[in-house]
Amino acid sequence: MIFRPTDAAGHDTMLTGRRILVVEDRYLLAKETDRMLRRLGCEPVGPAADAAGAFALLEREIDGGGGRLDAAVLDIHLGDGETVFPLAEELRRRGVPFLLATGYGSPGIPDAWRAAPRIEKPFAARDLAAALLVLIAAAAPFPRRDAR
Amino acid sequence: MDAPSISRAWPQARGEMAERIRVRNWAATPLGPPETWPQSLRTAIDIALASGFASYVWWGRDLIQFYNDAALAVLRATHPAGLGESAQAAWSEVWEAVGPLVERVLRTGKPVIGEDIPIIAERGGSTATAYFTFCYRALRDDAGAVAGMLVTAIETTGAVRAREALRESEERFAQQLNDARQLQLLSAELISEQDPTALYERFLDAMIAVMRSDAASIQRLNPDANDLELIAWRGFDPASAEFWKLVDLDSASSCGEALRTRKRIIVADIDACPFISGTADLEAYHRSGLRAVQSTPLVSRSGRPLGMISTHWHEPHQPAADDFSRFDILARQAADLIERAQAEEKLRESEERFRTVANLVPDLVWRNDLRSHADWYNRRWLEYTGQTMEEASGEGWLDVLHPDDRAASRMRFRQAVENGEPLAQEHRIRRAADRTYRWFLVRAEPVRDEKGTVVQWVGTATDIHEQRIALDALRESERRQRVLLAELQHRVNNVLAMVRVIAFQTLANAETLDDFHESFEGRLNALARAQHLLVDRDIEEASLSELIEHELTEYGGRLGETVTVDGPDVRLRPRAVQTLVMAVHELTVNAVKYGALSPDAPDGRIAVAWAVEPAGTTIEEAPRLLVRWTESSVPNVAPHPRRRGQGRDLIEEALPHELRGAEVQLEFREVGVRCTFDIPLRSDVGYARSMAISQDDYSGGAE
Repeated sequence: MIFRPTDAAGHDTMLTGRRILVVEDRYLLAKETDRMLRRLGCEPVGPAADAAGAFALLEREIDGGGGRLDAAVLDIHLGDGETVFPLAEELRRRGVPFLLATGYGSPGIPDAWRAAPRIEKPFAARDLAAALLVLIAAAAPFPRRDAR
Repeated sequence: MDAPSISRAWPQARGEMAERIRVRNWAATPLGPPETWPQSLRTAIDIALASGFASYVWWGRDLIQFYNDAALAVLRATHPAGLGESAQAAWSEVWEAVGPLVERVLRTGKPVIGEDIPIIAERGGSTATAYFTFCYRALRDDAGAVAGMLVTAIETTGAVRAREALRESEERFAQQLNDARQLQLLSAELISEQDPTALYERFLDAMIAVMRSDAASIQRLNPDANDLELIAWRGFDPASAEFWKLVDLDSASSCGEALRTRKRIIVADIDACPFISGTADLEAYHRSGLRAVQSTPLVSRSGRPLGMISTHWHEPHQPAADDFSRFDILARQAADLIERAQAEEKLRESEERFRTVANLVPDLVWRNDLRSHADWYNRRWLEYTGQTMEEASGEGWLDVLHPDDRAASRMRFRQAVENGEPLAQEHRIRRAADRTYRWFLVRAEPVRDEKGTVVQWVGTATDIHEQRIALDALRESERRQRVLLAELQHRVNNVLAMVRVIAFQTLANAETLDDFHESFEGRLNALARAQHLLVDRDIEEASLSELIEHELTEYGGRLGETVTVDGPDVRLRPRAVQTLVMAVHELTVNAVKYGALSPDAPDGRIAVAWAVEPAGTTIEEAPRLLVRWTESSVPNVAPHPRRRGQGRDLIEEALPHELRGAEVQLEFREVGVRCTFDIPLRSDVGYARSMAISQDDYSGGAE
């Protein structure tokens, strides 16, 4: 067990104030992820139900508003045959780390994305926290002091 | 000395005949004393006496004969009387041949030669025919007229005998040549002629020719009964042939004896043969006028007895060893013929058995050669495919195969034939009756001869159509079950996730445990009802009206009284059902607590109406489903501030999130809540089963 610094609310300081994009086509699941992120001290962006919505958010949150995006949680299958991979490609290009959320016996992941970090649905808040910590630590080795 | 002494002195030559001429009293003959003879006569006699060849002088009208010592060998029988006798008397036996020649010489004065005239001559104390060539030359008298002739004879017996021997040898050679030619002809026919009966006749011809016999017969051995069956004969009395139709070991005939001893039997004289004497066989021989017979057993090249060939003669006869040398060639060929005929008969019987059996089985059966060309099909094949034997033969079987199976089947057959390995495969064959293709299990096996060489192939096709179809159906059903199971698992997971999320979120928004319990149970039930609506049907869809009616009646709404539900038949897919049911549930719960269905609103009404607007002009645009929920006669309408959170989210946010392009408008009006759902009816959302109601009907709700 590694002890990590926590803030007053008991949140891991590494996650506090992190802006996390949520892409999930199922409303209730999206709301649940949203709720978990809030409880972890994060600041959820979205949720977006489809790629178009997600691209719109990217534009508004980063390019337009000058805001930042620390990570993303991406549902792979977005309904109506759409997948999240084009968006993932864009995030990779922008250097935004992301988690692919898989589960429910959904069809396999294409070979090109097998190495991407994943989280199995349904997940608990602590699973999400652990996965995000790994993701953010790998992307930025030094804790962000300014976020505290 | 006087004249008599002179006469006694002529002729002066030595030897018996000179002496006899000298001492003969010629004066007592018509010729008169020698002194009176013409000089030409006396000179001719002198020449004759001096000659080493048999020579004769015939003189005068009567052709009085003189001859020399050499002529004695020829003339022994008429000597010495022949001296001074007329030539005609001395040669009376041959005068018929000689007379005309003599006549000609006397008439023409030219010499004539009579060749090889047979004379009975004495030879070493016995008489024998000898041959002489006579030369007749005219003798003239002193006046120059033809008055007699000088005849010289040369024996040609040796030459004549040699010529005869040569001729006989030539004849024999010609005969042998003819025999050989006949044998050769027979050999050729053995190869080309297929009808054994015709061949047996040719054999009889050849046997009679080679043995110079008067009759001949061919018999076949029946191995089981060990008797000889007469299969061809020539020169028999029909009654004899009937008598010898079957000859067994007990028979007194030559062939019976040959059968017993397994050796050639020659009976040179039937009447003198001990084993035939006094039997019924003797009568049979006599009836056909036969006095001699030989029977030669026929054996296969492996030594198995096959039958008998015999030749018969009308006279007692001992055939020459030379004749048998050719006859044995015939015997060899006859044995081969009978063996072949037996083999063919066996083959024919086996062939008939095969066809009988092949025609009995319910399978389709055929036979292939080594190029996988079929030469025979059973009746079932012809009936099933409607082909004639000619149509099906060769590669005609391909015509009735399913076009998709032809190339593969043809290749696999060829491979099997090439490798000599049995074949088992399935392909479709067309049934003539209804021109449908049915599945068959097809097997082909090579048929080998005693040496193990593949000589042909036999194939069968068994109708496995029903089994194959059943198996395919079973596989398909298994596949569908697997899909369904995966689908079920997916749905269960999905539902569990929903329940989990609903629980967490309800909990997060509940103020008391009762509060949670009530909300959670309500939402769970709504979800269960939606699930029930979906599962009730074969296809995963639910009717919009049922969905709304179930929700309203569940909470005490009375259809047609406090609530009205009206709209075209719209079917929704699972995702839309789940989302819409939650929204309608929240609306209903809100109505029960604060709106048209609450105790505070005794006259409250809820009207739910919907319409489907046709697709727009662009292809991307889907028809739109417009659902309007209208509450009326509700006093003191105000959204409960505490309830505003989650309930409103489920109504206002969930739908646009889940159903792309959907819009929700929630209004809190004085007379009650009004909510409008505007949902693009894409194929993954749902579809209208009937025409949309008019805009008037839709907007004219229960307001």
